[in-house]
Amino acid sequence: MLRSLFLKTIRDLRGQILGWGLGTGLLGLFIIALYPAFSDQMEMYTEMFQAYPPAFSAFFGDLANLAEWSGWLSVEFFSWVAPILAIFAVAAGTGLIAGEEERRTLDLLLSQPIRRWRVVAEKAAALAVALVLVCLLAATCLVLSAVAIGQTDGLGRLVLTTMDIVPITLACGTLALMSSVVFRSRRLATSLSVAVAIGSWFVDSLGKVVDVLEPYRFLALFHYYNVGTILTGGGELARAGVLLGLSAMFVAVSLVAFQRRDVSV
Amino acid sequence: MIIETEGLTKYYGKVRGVDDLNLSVAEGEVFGFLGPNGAGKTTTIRLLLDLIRPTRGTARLFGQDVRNHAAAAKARLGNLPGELSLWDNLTGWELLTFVGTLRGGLDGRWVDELATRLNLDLSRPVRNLSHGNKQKVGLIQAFAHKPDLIILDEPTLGLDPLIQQEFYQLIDQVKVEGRTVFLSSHILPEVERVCDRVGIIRDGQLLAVEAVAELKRKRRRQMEIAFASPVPPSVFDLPGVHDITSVDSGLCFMVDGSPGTLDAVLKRAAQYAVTDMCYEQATLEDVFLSYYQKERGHDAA
Repeated sequence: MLRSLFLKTIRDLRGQILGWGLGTGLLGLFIIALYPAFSDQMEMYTEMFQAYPPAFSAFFGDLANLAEWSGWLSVEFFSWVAPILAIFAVAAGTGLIAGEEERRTLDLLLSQPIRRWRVVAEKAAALAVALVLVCLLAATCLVLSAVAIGQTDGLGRLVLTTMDIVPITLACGTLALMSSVVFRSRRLATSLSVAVAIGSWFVDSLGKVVDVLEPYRFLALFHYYNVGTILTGGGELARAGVLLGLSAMFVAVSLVAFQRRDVSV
Repeated sequence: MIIETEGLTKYYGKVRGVDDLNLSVAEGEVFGFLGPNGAGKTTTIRLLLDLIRPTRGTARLFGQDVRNHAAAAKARLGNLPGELSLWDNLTGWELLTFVGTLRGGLDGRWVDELATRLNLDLSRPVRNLSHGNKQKVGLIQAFAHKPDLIILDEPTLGLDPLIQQEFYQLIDQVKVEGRTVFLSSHILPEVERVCDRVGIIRDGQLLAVEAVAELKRKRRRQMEIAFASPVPPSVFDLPGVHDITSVDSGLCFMVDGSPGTLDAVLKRAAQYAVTDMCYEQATLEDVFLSYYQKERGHDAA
């Protein structure tokens, strides 16, 4: 695991990958385990939720379909798990360069014959792989849980839906990387990225029901997250493409900014 | 020239880092960069390594501007950063292996020898090492690939005296092999022990660059002579003799390094009955202090 900076970075993140991946997976397991009991009393709940104001649906997904397996998962799991994992991505993203800078290990790293752009590129690639691994771990737990309760239909979609968390979290993580490189402060970068991530989640969610916000939804990162709709056969993979494109842009800005600036003492 | 700077200047906003530094270090030289904390030693080294960018001026390593050829230069140099921080989650071996991969390989036998000589257990996690042992990992890291140039920022910080001696021998070995060392320090005996030339820096400016032998020759040394019967201080009122004071059984004064002074002093003393004499050992300390005092005097004026 020490054959390159890329592998070392993944090694450094391995505890967090395991923790967040399994943690998310276990939460999924818990929610899936509740489904059989819930679906037995489906009618009662459906009536109850239909009486809720539409604003609830904005945040918690399509409540009308809650009784369905796919609706249950998108409301109870996928609607909130992405913003939670975005926090991991932001913490990891600011840690890549600014973390080493704060611990002063960047001087040692940059004393070696490795180009600065390469440091950023290898670390960003490691972040992407870490997020894929977190989601793969979570997906594995979800699939096993689904099989355990006899929900064997659409397992492929379940995996795909889980992997759809990667682009949105990667966008948040690379945004955090970029701000940590530009502003040279891990704390500032974290606050800023969390504000943008959570803010955009609110703007997008509220925009579904608040007319004033609706025209601005396209600006929000979370507008391009499918919120589990892939599971119901909907969802647009092109949205993931937008997020991946944005991530690439954030990394590119980081490369240029880091190339130019001083390394802090 | 292995290291060459021209008008190298670094300001952090309005705060002075180094100002108009002109330095050159030739191949095979052990160059000491001497100055108190905050004088600009670390800033200079970080400029040489392209970790920070100059406000004005240039720095060249191996004849090439570090701004454009940093990676190529770093392949040929080893660096021990000042106030060293290591990756705490690795063992010494893992850390050296990782650094080795970035450098295209690690000479395990040489690393083993270095670890033995510096008395370091490489199997322990870095986080459990004392400050001195962490410094050893940093030193091994800098010496491991036998680089053409070794840059060391306060290398003996935290090392015990025995290990310091071993370190000096390592530097001697590098010198015998014709490789170059650039070493910053505020410890004078250390610089005196290992360096050929020193640059003295204060407040970001280079005050002097001279051969260690030359500096020592020039320095003032204290002489104390005891006489059988009292001798008036005016007897030693000679050119190059300063600060004459009477002590218990004789006189004490400073003799500077200008030619003929010592001879004149001894001939004058020989006219009286001398019972004892003490002429202190030459160290860089006074040279260093006299440089700073001189500068301070100028400031006051």
